[in-house]
Amino acid sequence: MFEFFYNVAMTDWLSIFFVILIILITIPILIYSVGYVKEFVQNYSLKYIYIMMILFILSMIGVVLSSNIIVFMIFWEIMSITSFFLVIYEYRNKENLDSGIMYFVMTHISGLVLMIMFALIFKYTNSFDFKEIINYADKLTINQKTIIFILAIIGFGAKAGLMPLHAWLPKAHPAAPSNVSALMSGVMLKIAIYGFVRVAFMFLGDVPYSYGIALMIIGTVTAIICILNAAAQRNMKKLLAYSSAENIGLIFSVLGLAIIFKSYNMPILATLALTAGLFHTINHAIFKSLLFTAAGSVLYATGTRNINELGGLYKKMKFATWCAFIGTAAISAIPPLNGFASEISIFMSFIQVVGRIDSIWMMVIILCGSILALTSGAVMYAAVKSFGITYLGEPRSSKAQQTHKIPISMNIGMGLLSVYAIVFGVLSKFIFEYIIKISQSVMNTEKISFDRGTLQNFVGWDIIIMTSVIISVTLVILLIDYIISRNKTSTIGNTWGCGFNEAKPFMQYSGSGFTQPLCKIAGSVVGYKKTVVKEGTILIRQKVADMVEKHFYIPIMKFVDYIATKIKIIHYGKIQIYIAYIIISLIVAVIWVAKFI
Amino acid sequence: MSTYIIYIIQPLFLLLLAPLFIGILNKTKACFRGYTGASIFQLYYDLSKLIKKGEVISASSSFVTKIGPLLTLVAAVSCAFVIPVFYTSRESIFGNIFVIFFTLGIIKFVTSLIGLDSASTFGGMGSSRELFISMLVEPIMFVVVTFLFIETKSFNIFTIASTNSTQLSFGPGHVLAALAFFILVLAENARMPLDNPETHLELTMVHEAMILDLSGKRLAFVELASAIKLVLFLTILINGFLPYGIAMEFNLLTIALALALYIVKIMILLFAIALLETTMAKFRLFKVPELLTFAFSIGIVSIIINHYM
Repeated sequence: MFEFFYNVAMTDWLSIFFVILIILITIPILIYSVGYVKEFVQNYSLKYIYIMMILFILSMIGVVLSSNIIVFMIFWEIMSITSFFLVIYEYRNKENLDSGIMYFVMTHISGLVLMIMFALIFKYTNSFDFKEIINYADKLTINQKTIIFILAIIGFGAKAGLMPLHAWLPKAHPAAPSNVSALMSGVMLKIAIYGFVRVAFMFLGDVPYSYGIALMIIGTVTAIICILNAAAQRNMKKLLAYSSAENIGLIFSVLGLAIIFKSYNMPILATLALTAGLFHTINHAIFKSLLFTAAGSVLYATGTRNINELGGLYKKMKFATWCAFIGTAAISAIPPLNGFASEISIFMSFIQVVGRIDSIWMMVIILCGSILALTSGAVMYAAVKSFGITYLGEPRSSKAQQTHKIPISMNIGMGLLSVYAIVFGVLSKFIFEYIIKISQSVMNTEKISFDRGTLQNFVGWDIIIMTSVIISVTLVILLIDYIISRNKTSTIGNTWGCGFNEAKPFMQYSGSGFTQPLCKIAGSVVGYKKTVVKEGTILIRQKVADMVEKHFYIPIMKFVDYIATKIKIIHYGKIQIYIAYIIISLIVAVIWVAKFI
Repeated sequence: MSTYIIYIIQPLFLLLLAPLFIGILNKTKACFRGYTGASIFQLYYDLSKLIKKGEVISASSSFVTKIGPLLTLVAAVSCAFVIPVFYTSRESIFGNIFVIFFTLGIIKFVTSLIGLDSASTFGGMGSSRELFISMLVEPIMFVVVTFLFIETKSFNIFTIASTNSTQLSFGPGHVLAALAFFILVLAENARMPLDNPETHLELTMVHEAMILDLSGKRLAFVELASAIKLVLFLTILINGFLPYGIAMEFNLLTIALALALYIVKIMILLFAIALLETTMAKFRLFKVPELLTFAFSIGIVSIIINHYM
């Protein structure tokens, strides 16, 4: 049995890594789900969500372990379909159905492109088997590689959320139940990254550096635009969805960097860049599922996703607030948590280019690196907004006052994810060194030994030393604090209103106000519009819109609609005509396929 | 063994003198403005007064106000232990410059949460502005580190300091990068053209707004942390760009000389900050991006110059 599995499945380091990732993340989310689904017990079927979730998880493991094009595509489609059914789980809400259909279309664009890509791979290599395809990599011509690479970016990018195909993320995530969002954002997006690494790094072998630069620029643009949109949102889950797309952009840009290094024949740096990317992949999986589960508990407790209505939740749900705090700190790259560990390794990979490659591309890479640095600043902005407005301060509406109690299992799930976030940060040195092995097997650089200096620059004892310094300093300061605060009074009073005694909760900063400076300078990128209405009282309405959706999707949709109305003419409603259509299209398809083979 | 002692002494030196440097800065400013000004030890008096007092905690606040000030102080103090002040070694297993910058990032993360914690209008405003500015500062940090990496091929601040201190000549890019970093220091530490550290006026405050609801020892912690943070940034500036005379071996004479040089250098920088703060007005918030973009541009220019020369 085991031998059979070994022969059939893909059991190299890369697949094992992603299997570990899936299992690591799904366990806490499943524990979390036990409590979370109680919310639906009256309106929807619980059997349905459990079966779909388990199918979803199994299909993801199937995708990662499959060693054959056909099996890969079958599991990929099962993954897409089950996740679609999970997104529209709350089908009684019309809006969720719309978002679900958007997701359905996008995921099938991804599937279609991937099918074309795999068909071409089969055509070029004459094999369905991954291992054979990998061995064939060097024989592919440059044109073949280009086509496969572009199709891989579109196919896996649509699933992962690269620009401009990210539009389904901010729609599907708010619609889906939070445990499903956590699974989709935390794990499913990573499966797309697995697919991309498998195809771009292993099937294609060596590719020209220009591919890497294109990928890096796409990734960087995705990162910056998505995070600006994230910061402008007031829907908590939309904010997180955009931030997922941002992290995907970050990961893809560092993968692009790895390709550049590889084609410039710097295998060590390429391996390290890929390692940074994979490390960020697992770290993003951890903190994003933590944040989605935390958002889910807010939703469970208050019933609203709008952060402008929330506030002061700390007093209602202390443990969940602590978990959300850890998640927020991790995503803001606060040491010694995990987001920080991978963020600095990504930055260091970018800086390593100086003096090593053509100067014009060097400047492009440095500029991309600076934009990613700007992104990391904006991440902190968005994360502090989402945490601070939601959990701190005073409740801004009655919804935030009358909260439901959170089941214990949800707390356990979040607690477990928080522990991951800390462990993966503090012990990042060892995890990084483990992932280096995986990247080496991907890059075929097992035989090249790493000199200590390069590795030291990347991942030394720094983080561990810093953590121990922080802990010992904390202990010393706590001791001093204990000594000086003896016999001191500590009274609880109202917040100082600067002489104004009628402070009301709605006078606090709102989420929209919090990021208003950013919206103002980002302006057209986030589609920011402010209107002041003077009718008795003065009202300010702020609006943001996804510009990509407005200028890219809507025209396409209009065009399709136009074509559809034209094509309507051939529909007569007679069965004979439809049979004729079928026969004609069958003949055309057969001719086409015959030509293709 | 003696080298280990120096790794303990130099951070303690920095931590103990940080309030004094702030006092000197304020005294210089007072001199420029033509009034006597407070004693240079004023911050010590203020801190001890605050520590002796009891405190009032807002009823709206959460654990962030409880542990936040402590965290800011811990972050500042911890960073002091991993940077060179007047002694550096060629290699060190700690002192990664990104780790230092991101650890200092804890301070702005926590203070901006403190601002939101007490449900006051001012706090939210301060946090929003602080994060807005610090977001734009991040690319400058990136280009400056890139520049230092080009010069020294290292991310380690100890190695950077020791390499640069033996370098005989620097290109023009060095000056530009140092200037970019200086603007970063001003932005990160809520200094003049970006924030006014002296007033409690609604329009001008960023940093002060966030800590408006702290009192007693927690206020003392945050104040001390921000004093240490300024001195830390200046020390990184000195040791990254101007490390001449920094001690690299352990004997009393070199150390004394290095210490004296360090104090002279930091005095010059404090003088420059004081000059800036007395001669410039605070920028409007939406003019801040222009200044920071300028700093970013000269950072990029410095990389280009250094690369082609």
